[in-house]
Amino acid sequence: MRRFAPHGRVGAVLLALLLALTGVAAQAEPPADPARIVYHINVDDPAHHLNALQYLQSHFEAVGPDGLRARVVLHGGGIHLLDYAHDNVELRGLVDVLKLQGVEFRLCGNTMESRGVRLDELYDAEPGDRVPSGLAELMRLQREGYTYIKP
Amino acid sequence: MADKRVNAQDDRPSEELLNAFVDGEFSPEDRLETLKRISCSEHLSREVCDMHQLKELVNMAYRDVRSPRDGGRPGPSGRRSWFPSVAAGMLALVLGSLAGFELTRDADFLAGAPATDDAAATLADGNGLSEAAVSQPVAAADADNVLLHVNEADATAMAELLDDIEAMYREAEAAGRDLNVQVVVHNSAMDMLRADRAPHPERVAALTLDHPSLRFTACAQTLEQLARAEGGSIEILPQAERVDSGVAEAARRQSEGWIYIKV
Repeated sequence: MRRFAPHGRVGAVLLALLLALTGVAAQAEPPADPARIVYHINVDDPAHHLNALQYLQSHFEAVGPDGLRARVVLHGGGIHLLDYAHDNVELRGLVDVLKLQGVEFRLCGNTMESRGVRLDELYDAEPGDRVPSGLAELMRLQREGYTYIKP
Repeated sequence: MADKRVNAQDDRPSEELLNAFVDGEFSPEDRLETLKRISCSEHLSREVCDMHQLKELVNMAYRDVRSPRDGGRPGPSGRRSWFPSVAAGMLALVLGSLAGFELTRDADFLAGAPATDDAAATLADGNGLSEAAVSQPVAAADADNVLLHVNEADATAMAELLDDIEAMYREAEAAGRDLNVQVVVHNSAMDMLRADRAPHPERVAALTLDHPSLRFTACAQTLEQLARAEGGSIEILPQAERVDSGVAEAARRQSEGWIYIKV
């Protein structure tokens, strides 16, 4: 768990980096060095969705909200997770709780187009959540150092 | 353990025994004995294959992540003293200011990433860190290598996968990045590449024609299993190639630094 200890030289370098970044850009990242995880959900099955989000929540409970930076890419059948979240209280609760811990849900634009899903049909979805391609997003996040998990 | 082994020989190896086998906890003799038993049973070999796959995937998922920004982070030995770190921090502050503009473009889709890697490399050099720490991400920035692992898919999922591949190439082109995609097909997704059953053979042909760096590869072990089950050999699409094992190929590519996506 050495990556969670932002002290010594690591802390100094990161702090300096942060100062430099915040000076230039509002979207600079927080100073801690949390684990980065991206979940890939592409199955149309609310039971699977519930399990997947529960895994992620367990991970948060294990390391604390500052120990983890997580993204969930909804792609293919996975896009319907935010459909089910309207009526499925448990699922909706998990989505809410995860978002409170900084989790961002990314919606595959190709999937929404091919399946005819509109943004306003999806629970708590905003235009910024939509990405052109779910797979390209998974690529991009992995390139940035996110560990890929297919629950 | 000995009791379990005796019991297992009566019938089939227990779950526990199979797991121990997959985890390589057996002595050579036990291993040989179990291997013999597994090779006699189609069902059993499939089960062991699945276990191997699961183990590989779990290992991959929890392997240490290398990230472009890790290049700017020293190893544990660097924590011993505080004072040099202040100097390093100041240097990072200056370099960071310069790189900041580049880094913020990171939020822009694909186009931003090469800039991030360059910035990370600049920072790392400025800190006098070893080149080894940053050489990989920089090399990876030249081209994206992506392995798409498919082991179960219906016709719709296969069509969506082909759409996705098309979109990935479109975006890579727009961002001016080189892209290598290898699709590894095994188990129950094999229909996708079977000459007699492929639901979208013309699209596979068109895509490979448009993108020479796109490869469709079929797991030879799955093909052999299918051939044994159906009698006769299984033909695959002319654009597809055989690889010895789908799981092994996925593991190999990951160890070579390829990005892994399970479709």
